[in-house]
Amino acid sequence: MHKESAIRTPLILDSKTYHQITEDVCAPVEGKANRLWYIAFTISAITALWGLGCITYTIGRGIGVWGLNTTVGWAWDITNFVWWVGIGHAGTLISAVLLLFRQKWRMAINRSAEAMTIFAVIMAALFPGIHMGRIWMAYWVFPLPNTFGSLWVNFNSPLLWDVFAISTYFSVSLVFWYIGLIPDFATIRDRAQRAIPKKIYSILAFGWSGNAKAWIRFEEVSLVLAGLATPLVFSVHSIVSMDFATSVIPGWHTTIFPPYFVAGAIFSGFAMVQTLLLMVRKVVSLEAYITPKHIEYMNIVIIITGSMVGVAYLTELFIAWYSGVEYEQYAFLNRATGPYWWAYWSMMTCNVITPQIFWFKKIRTSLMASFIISIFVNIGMWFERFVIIVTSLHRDFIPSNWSMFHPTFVDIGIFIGTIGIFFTLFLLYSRTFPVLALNELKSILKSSGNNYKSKQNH
Amino acid sequence: MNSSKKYWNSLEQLNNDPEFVKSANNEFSEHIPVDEFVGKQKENGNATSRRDFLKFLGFSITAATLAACEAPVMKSIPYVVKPEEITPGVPNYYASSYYDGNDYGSILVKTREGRPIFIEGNKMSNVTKGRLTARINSSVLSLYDSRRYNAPKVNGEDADWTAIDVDVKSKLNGIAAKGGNVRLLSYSINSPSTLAAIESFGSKFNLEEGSTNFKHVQYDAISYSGMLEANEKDFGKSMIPDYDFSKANVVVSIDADFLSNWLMSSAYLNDYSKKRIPNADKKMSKHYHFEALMSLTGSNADVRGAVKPSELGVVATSLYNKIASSLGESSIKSGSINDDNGVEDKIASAAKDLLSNKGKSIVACGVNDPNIQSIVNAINNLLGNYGNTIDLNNPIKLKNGRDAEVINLISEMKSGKIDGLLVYGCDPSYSLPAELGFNEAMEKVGLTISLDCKPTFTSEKCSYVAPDNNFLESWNDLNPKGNYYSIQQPTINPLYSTRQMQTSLLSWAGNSNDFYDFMRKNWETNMLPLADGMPFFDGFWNQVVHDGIFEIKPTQPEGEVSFTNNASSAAQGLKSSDSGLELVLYASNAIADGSNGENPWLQELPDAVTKVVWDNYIAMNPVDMGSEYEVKTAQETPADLAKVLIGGLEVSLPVVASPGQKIGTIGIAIGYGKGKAGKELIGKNVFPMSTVNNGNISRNLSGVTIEKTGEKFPIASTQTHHTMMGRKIVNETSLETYKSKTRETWNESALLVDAFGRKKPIEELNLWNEHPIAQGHRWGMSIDLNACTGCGACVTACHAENNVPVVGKDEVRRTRTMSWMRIDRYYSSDADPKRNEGKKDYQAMENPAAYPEVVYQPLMCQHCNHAPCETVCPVAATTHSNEGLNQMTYNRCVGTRYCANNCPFKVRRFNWFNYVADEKFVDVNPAQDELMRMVLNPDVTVRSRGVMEKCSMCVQRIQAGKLEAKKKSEPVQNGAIKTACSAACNDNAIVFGDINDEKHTIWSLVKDERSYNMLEEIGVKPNIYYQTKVRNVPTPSYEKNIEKPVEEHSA
Repeated sequence: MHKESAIRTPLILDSKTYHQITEDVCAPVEGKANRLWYIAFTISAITALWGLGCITYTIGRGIGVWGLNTTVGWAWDITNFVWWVGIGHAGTLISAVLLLFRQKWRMAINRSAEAMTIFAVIMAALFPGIHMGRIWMAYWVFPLPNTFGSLWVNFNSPLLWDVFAISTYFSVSLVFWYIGLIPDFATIRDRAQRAIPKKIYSILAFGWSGNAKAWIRFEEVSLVLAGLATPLVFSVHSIVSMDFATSVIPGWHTTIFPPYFVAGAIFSGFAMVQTLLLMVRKVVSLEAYITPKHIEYMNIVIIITGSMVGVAYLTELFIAWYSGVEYEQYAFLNRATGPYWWAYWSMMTCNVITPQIFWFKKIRTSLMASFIISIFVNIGMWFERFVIIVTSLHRDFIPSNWSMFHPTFVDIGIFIGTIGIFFTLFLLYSRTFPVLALNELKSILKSSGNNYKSKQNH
Repeated sequence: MNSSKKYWNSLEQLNNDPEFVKSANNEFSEHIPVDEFVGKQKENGNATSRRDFLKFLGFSITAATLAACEAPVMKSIPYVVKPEEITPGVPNYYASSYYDGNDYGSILVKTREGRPIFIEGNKMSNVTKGRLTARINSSVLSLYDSRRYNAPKVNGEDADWTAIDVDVKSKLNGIAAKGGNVRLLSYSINSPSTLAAIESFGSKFNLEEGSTNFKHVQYDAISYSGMLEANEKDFGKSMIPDYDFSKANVVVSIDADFLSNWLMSSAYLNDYSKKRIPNADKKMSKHYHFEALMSLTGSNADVRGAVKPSELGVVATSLYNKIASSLGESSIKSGSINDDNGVEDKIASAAKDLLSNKGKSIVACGVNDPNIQSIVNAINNLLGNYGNTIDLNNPIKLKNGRDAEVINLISEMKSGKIDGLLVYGCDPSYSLPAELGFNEAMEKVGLTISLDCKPTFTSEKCSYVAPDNNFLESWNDLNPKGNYYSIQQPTINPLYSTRQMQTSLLSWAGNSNDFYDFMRKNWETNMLPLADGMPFFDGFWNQVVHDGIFEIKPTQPEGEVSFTNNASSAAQGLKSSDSGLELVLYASNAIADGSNGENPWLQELPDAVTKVVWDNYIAMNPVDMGSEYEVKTAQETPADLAKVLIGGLEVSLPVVASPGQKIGTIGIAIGYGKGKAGKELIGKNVFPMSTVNNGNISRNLSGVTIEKTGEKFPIASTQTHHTMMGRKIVNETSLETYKSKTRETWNESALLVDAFGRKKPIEELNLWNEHPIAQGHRWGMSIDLNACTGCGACVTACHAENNVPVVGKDEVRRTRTMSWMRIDRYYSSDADPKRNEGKKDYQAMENPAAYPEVVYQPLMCQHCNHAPCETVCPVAATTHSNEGLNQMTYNRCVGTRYCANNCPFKVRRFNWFNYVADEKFVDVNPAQDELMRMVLNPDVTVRSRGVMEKCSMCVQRIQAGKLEAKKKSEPVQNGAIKTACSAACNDNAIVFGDINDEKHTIWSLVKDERSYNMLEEIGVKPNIYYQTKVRNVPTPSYEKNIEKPVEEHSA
């Protein structure tokens, strides 16, 4: 067994035993939901319904019910899309990349992070669908054999690449998440008292027996999937960034976009994981597993990626000046000083300045501060996409086209609605799924558990 | 021979084989298990069982339900006897004419399956030479207007023609019997046959020679009475001479908006544009303009002086004096100008240019004041323009109205002398100054009859309405000027129960002839003798109707008209200028006098200068607006409402920034407050504010006050950013630079640095493979920014040709205009540096100068050969044709809008709503009206919701032209294919053709040194070329501006 230095902070606090871990993780699934959960669920569900209503209205009447116009053909729709895809980055990064790097602290957070990924990608995938003028023709973006003759999709189009990137990412993430869930579902199955849940969980558990051979295979599959998922972490957002980078619009046409978008995605993903877990650990009493140390680790990732994003922002400004291109220079000057200066400076403040205070250990270990800053980063990253999309479009080459974008209640409704749907799904997940990878957690109990560590010291 | 021959199918039949006989009775040789299928019935039982009943019931209900699901069947009924000239799918063209009292045009009407759908210019006409205005080509939509009178009316109730005829006749006979007075009030009528019909009607009342029981009073809402009066005094004839802008090297206009609303603008547009293009010697006309409001014509001027309306007289006298003193003539009384933009220098320079172009210049004046007109006449006389550029022998007959006659009529009406009033084609209730009290006077008239085709303010007050046909349903002849005649022929049967006004008059006069016969007879007696080599009337008539025109050029002038110089006395009569706020009531380019104010195409045609649609407003210089009024109006920044008060009248309208408006003056467009969108009036009527000055109606008013109401008003404008920000969007230079410097200094082509640091022309650098455009056709357009006046005829033509939806004010405010082509207007800014030089203060560059120079740029899909839209479409709905067209496949489009985002020109239009069905567009989009949708061009798809659309370069016309050429087995000839816009522009500014064919005009235009591509540096390689704008001034403003900071540096 792997030995861990005693001075390392334990990853499982409160002298937990194997049994206690099982009890703690299964409690939300087996017990009754508390009042807080019902309140949260009602609010989320109402918001979700409101969002679905707005989506139905859009599909029924036309994209005209949004605030888009001839000059600004994308705004909140694609902003939301990129924002959600970005959020969907953390899960896979945590489970795949950290698995490959043998980071044990991932075990407490990977399940929820992956669930968040799945739900976020679903939210993200919604937008390219509903932003289409004719969503009923949406299947045309797939290269399907058809009776139209040689009619085929356009492989030059980054939107088509998006289709492949997002669908691949979604399916790999889903499989990876599910494989990890199998042993835990089996645990719940074995503990289930009532017939119907037992039946459902036994189907979900795929007949997991828990013998050594199964565990070996489990580990191998996890490793293989981690290997497959790791490049996807980088490819998805690189490809999403190409929607912009391959275009001719000043402010979009930028080679820095792929790395910049990936860093931004991890940044926003971690912030969202942070937001969620800080809530979850309180709501379902998992303080012993999601420790301040975990939060601190994630904060460190946030500082690093946040700084990368900051450097990217500054590089963009430098290159715009250095290029000598009239349109490029104006595009960036306009971002900072034009009519959307407030969006630019919101982005700058939230993404570049606020995470820097994590350099202070006191702040990055403070749960409240972490929570507040994670919200800032979520907002900032939304603004980043808004700034890129809207401020580039609203004043591009020809001044007579220049225009502004004003969201309508439908734009706002759909965005808030997706947050509602996301939380509805997440709350349902927290009541039906093991929110921690309990079997994997057990594997580090003896090396990183508080009581075992303290025993070692004695 | 035995005739009852018998044939057998088989030997069995011949032999009457019992087996065969048995089977012959069965239709199906094999047993069909009907019974088993229907149910287990007893073999002999034919009663339907309960189960069967349910089965049948179920089947019938299902069948009925399925049948009900079927889409409603739209029956198209084929011709029983097909008219010889109509082939479904092939358009017919008929020559006709348009005249509504304001505009004249000799036109060709395109009809499809009997429906007029498009109007273009008739090239055979020597009057308009194939050019027309936006108002004329949109008039085809007014034909289908369901708000027209659809039947005669008596006291507001529908009636039938016999009833109204009996009624009206008996009343008119009563008046005639007692020797009462009847007046016909109409717009200026120049039609010889209509005038004859009116005379025949009048003879019923004027029983004796010289009797005035019946009089025909002509009234023009946009009055030229002052000009007629001045000409009567100066030339002895109340007429308006013909101005020939094609001969004028120098044009000086004093408030004459001759490209939009002054006299026969349809003709002037053509001639003026041609002179604006630098010729082989690099010479072009020079245009000076003095006015208060930034008009369409003023915005095209090389040199524009902004003066108060009350000082326009001083401009005329000062110009007169400068010319007179050079020619040794005595000077006249003049005044001084409150000058903040170098007007004195501009007048001096104009005088100098006029003197060096004697006999080759025009001084035009649009002020309805006989004194100023007399002074201008004297200037033209000094310059020897009469007989050269101004033709007194072929007077224009579009404007005959003398305001004094109308004023006289009203006083007659007030005194109760008038027993019957017939109103036709004008709307005095709406357009006369309130102070004249026409409405009160009308109440004193016993019999009021309106002959209007659609409801007007006046017709609604008339006891009888005998509605006229639309002009596309009518026969008529016109005589726009001199000996030039044209024919109006019906292109469709009357849609409603209407009757030509002339037929009504004839019938009331007791003449049972139809007007058509009357007109033919008139032509046979009066016109046939004038025609050379036409002995028989039928041949002559067919020729005239076919051509739409009959022009007899006078073999020799009718002798010199003597001129009396009344300038000196006129100058004495000029009013002294005013120091207070002044108001100009101007006619806008789209709406003019408001007679077509209900036409949605015209309402959605942006004002040429301010780009505002669907409203009139108070135009004010941003300097005057200061911080009190919102200058930059947009979707979330509505305009401020202000109340304008004058002479006891007040009107609240939004204030809109109009750089170039003389500081201390405001302008409001007339013609609004008449047309409706749904039930709401569009804009407000300001006609009543006009006033009578020296016996003529004046729309230049002083003694005005304005106060901000504090309320906000949403205003829709298609352009919310007004300066070019120092970019090469419209490439502009001065004539001096153009002549003396190489192309590189004023039209530099973009160079890019390749991977090895070498500077290369943009054509050599490609990311993508070239499309095969070097062979075969390569369609393209050349747009001459010198010839483009910004008139907007191309925009409405495009709407008509391509079924472009009208989206209404609210959508325009959301920047969702659907126009496939538009005309961008840029003001110069004082802060504009020279391209890529000098320090850029972008904030300052956003603000136009107080008195800016203006450029126009028609913009449509540029049909890029490396189109950014084509690469990004995920479903390949937009592709490149091997003829250079960027094609849009609506069927394939899923509506991601990626193409529109990636279009550097932002010319793609997205169908945000289902414009043909969405409730939001019921009141504005013609395609939603049961009748108006008949104007839709069947060759062009009406796009559904959620798809992208854009300029197709009228691909349906290209295909038709190619087929035509193929039938003739010849290559496509130069000019054989025209797009809707190039046809509307009459190839003045927009020239379409095959760039690969050296026989086409465009082939050389593309190679011209003025030619450039927009945004050349991004390498999209458009097939649309622009010709650099050359301004006839020594140095363009942006070059002047760059010198300032440089000097400061060196000092």
